[in-house]
Amino acid sequence: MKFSVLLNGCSESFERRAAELRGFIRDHVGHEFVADKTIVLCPDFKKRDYFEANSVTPKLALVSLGGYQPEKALAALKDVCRDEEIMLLPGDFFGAEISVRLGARLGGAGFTGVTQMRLEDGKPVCDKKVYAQKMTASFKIEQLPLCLSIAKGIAEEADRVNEPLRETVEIDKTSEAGGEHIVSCGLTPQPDEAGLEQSDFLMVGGKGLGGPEGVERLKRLAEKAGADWGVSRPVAMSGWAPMERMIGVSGIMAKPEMCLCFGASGAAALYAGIARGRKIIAVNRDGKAPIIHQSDAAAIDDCLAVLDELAKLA
Amino acid sequence: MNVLVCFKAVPDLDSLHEQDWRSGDGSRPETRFVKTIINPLDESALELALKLRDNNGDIGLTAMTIGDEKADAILKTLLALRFDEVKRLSVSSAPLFNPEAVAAVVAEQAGGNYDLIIMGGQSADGANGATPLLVAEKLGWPCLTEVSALELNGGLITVESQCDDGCLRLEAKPPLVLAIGNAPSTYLRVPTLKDRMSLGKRPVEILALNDVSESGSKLTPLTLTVDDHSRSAEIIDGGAAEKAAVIWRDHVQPWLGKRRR
Repeated sequence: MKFSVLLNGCSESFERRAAELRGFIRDHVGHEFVADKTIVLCPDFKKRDYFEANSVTPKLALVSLGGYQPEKALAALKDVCRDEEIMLLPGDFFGAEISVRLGARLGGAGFTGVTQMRLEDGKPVCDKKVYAQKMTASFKIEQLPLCLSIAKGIAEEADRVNEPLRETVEIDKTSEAGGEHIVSCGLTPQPDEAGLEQSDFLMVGGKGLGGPEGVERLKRLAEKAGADWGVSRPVAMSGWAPMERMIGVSGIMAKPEMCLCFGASGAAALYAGIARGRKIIAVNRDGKAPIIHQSDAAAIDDCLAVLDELAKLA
Repeated sequence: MNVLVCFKAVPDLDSLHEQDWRSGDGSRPETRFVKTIINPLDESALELALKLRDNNGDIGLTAMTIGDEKADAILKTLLALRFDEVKRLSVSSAPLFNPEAVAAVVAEQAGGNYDLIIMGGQSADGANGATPLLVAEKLGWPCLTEVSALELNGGLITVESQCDDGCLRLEAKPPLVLAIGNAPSTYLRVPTLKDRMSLGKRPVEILALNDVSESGSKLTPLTLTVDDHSRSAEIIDGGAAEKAAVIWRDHVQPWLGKRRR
């Protein structure tokens, strides 16, 4: 069964998402599936060399839109993808939105957060995390075409296989209708200044920090120890720390070598953001909190008291 | 302007103990004895709708859910918070992995009556991440995703929305479906006791819904398994200073030594 890859070439993260999809295909897609072509939405064809250098497959289709706008992209893709059986999209906001809507528009299925894809009895079967990331569910896809986006943070980035590009097609869709509901639009770039996804030493704080002052103490310890710092969703939601510091399934999916968790219960949504960590050390006053048995070492105590003692040693 | 906010009442999954996850009939964990809460992203949707009305008086607010009577306490709270209308589409069990069916019901209920449909982008349990997107597709409306703030300016909606390259500030014409993402400081406000006693006593509209759990589904659930993230969990004893010393001396410092080399 053939599948194609769909990427947003209008995004700054295009190159990284392409590398993640290569890793996903290598590690999470059954060998019964054959990669066909890479479809890239792009502003124009000026960067053709760049897209060819990052194509996931030997066949590439460039679809120029003038700029990315979901409604316009969907109108264009409905035509471009009409003969596709399976489309694989990245685990970002673009992938999550377009996979579902394009699946519906093509009369097939849209599916998000996929962790594995295999073939059973001639039909694709996809795994994904459900129940706040605590359980894995398998689904048989009953209706093609299937548009699926991969789970955020699931795939290792993989380099391009040294296979020559066989074909590049340019499709001009700049005059496609869509997006007329938008009156004005401005983007405030938010580069990943904190660099938490790449952090090797991460300290994570939960509600046990007690408030913004506790977050400040965590931040000071992290700076002193040469670590990065992040927080759980309840901490970010309470406004104690910026949203871009949020660790977990709806925030940063980190993979630290060393991770210290202070006052975080280890709710599944947060834990998903550190589960790939090599060593996890928890400090929590509740010995029954999930983070305790999900850690390599744990101190059952007031997290701020231990945090302050660590600050003396760092 | 008429606004429909859709929410899902879900079990508080954070309160499930490890053994609870392994209970149930294999199709879903046993959560009947767990507290029912508003799905977190839907809670943000409800609060953002209330904030919208705080700043713009002339807005009709309707809240709607699909589910059993466990949602009724939440609906009473929403009445006390001055939602004009609240309704529950009654089913014995809300579809867990069938966003197609949920979206079809929402689209049918909403048809022609509302300018804005607001809901969380994803539920905690089913995690389909599809319902608002499919509602938009069924109605032929645009959808703005990962919305974290909204305002009304004249007849236009201004939203802040996270995208892969940053934060978009968009001014858009209704009708729209808004899928709410991570929105800071949007825990649902608490009604006053007076409002709870007076407004909260108004009736909740309950409409019977045929079983939609299988209708239109393009997926067949096969298996559901609990992920085991257990690690060795070496417990560190002593006072706070001793525990910190063990963490630093036995774990962090040796690793830092290797990292620096």
